[in-house]
Amino acid sequence: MTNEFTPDYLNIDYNTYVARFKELLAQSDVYRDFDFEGSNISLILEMMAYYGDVNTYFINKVAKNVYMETADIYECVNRLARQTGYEPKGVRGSRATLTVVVSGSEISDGDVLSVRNWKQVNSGRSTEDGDSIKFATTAIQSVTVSGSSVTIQVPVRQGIVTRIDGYTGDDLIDNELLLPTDYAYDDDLDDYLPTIEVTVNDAVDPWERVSNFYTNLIPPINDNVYMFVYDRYQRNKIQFSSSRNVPVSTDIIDVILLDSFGPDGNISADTSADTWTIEDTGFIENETTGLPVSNDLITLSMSAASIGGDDAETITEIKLNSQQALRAQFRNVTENDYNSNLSARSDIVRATAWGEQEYAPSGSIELYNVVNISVIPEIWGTATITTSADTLTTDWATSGSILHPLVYSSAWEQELLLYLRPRKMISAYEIFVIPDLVYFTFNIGIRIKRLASFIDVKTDVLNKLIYYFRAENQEFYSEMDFNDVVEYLLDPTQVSTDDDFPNVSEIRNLNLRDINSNKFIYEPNDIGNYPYWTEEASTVSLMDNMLRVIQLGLNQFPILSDDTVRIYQEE
Amino acid sequence: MPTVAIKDYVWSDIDNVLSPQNDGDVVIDTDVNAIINSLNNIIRTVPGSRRMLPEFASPTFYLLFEPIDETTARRIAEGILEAIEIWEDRINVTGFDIEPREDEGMYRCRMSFVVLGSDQVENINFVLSR
Repeated sequence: MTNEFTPDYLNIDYNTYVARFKELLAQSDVYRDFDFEGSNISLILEMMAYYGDVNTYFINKVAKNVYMETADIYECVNRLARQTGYEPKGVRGSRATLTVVVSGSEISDGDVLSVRNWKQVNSGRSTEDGDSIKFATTAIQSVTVSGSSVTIQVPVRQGIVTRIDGYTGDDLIDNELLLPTDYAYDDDLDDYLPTIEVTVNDAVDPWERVSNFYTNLIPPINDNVYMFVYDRYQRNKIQFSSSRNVPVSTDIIDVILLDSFGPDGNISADTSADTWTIEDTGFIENETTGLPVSNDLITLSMSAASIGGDDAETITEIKLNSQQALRAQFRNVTENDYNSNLSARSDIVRATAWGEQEYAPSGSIELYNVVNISVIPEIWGTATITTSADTLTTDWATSGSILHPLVYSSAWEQELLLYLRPRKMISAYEIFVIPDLVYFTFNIGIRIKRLASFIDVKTDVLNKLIYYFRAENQEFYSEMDFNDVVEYLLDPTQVSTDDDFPNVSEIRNLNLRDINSNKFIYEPNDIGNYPYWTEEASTVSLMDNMLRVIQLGLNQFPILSDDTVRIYQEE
Repeated sequence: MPTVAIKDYVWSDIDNVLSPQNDGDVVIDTDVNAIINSLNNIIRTVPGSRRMLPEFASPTFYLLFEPIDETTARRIAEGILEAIEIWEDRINVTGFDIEPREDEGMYRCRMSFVVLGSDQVENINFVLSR
């Protein structure tokens, strides 16, 4: 009886309804022997059961989509996220920094040059579909010529400049301007460069994009603001608020946006075969002479890969990011806040932060209020964190693909600081610390079931190990317990989103015969030598040393050296 | 002391018309009439039209739009007998006559069957038309 009223919607389907009706009628003296497919009453029962089934399905669907945890319709997830103050993101265009060199007779020492905004440049590369990958400037940048030439670092966004004009205030419905759905508009609000420009009545100053209508209310207040949102029907629209300014019916609204390829716009740094071309005139203007500089006198190059291009957030990403945003309360205070805030960016996988108390518990005037931040970028390189090659040598193999992070790109570091600024505590002093990658590799012996294929099992074990060590699944400052690794490998319920690793269930025994790291592992200490064993060598026998838990440092991150993992079959 | 209702019929079904009887409940059809309801539904159901049981039907509906002749009549009869064999196991069909009437645009049918478990022979006459 206790479970009688427990709703179990999935069990109330068509067949259950029919069976229950039949049970009910079987107790009736009048309709006891109706149970034939052709009888009228069967037809009526089936019709009722069908309506019941459909009704149950929709009730279940509605009930699921009331809560963020169970919602599975984009429309509902988008709205629930928005209730928590999180704005789901649309497509984001890749960003890069171009090195622009100007020289020749049209410029001279002391001239002021300005790189104009919304000018199109072509990378000369194409997507797999054959579409040219083009970038655009989105902000005006000025520089003074010193000597006979000048080099300018120009930030650009991937996308085709799309001008949508002809709108008036009459086109607003509930203060919203719905944009054509033919384009994948760049929707990056987090970047410090604008990706959209809205002007009203050809005014010189465009309206300001805001993340909500309750910010920027400190005088002098600019009420010419709008939100650019990715709505519940996955359309882009411009929202105005009647609490601020809204264009009136006679106002002319002009919009400039970028039509982006998202992740397909991420391209590598230039090789000697790559050539950039400027597609628009007036890319650079000489403010001193009042004339545009000929495109022939301008050379473009890109020394670091473009990064950050991404598709619109999926349901899973919105759920995760909105929960993290709510938890952080739009302030970066704890390590979790920094991690959730930074890893919400498409170019960062993991982040961590620590302060004085973590590495100077007794206090340090020099370290007071310092927030150390370390991140794992999506793509290593000169656009993010420069690396050098290192090696990991074991008794059984040598890997030459070990990365040794060297230095943050100064442009990227500045961009991250600007990104963090809105959530920064006023007394915090944020600095970026290079992440220290701790590579692990394993020598694994396995015994498999009699009819299993060792090659298949080996492949799945390696893939599962790679998945376990993917940056999304690991954390800074973690404890590396090798028993956890073995347990994870052998647990058939631990699967990835695209691989169930089915052959792992064919394992009879799995033993970690040897473990290697590219770092020296210290004995337990409190002087800051990381990584260290969490147990003294003297407390365990020598043969057990390999299975002692390893504590990583504050900026240390575990990585798998997958090309040196050895998996062999034991008899 | 509870009373035990004694039924004087084996099978029951609600009547097609759904008209109320004296006690307010719908009229029920019993025994042979319940079987005739079932035959009626089997013959008249269009293939694929029944929710969750699309195979419940006879091909009569589509054959009515074929030329009205002996060949089509034979196909209709075979289709009906096959459907009855599948969906109605309370009877044994002993005879089925079908007469095409091209000028009237219909078929006149006469079916004889025996209710299993009894010797009672029942005859029903019906018309199939577009």
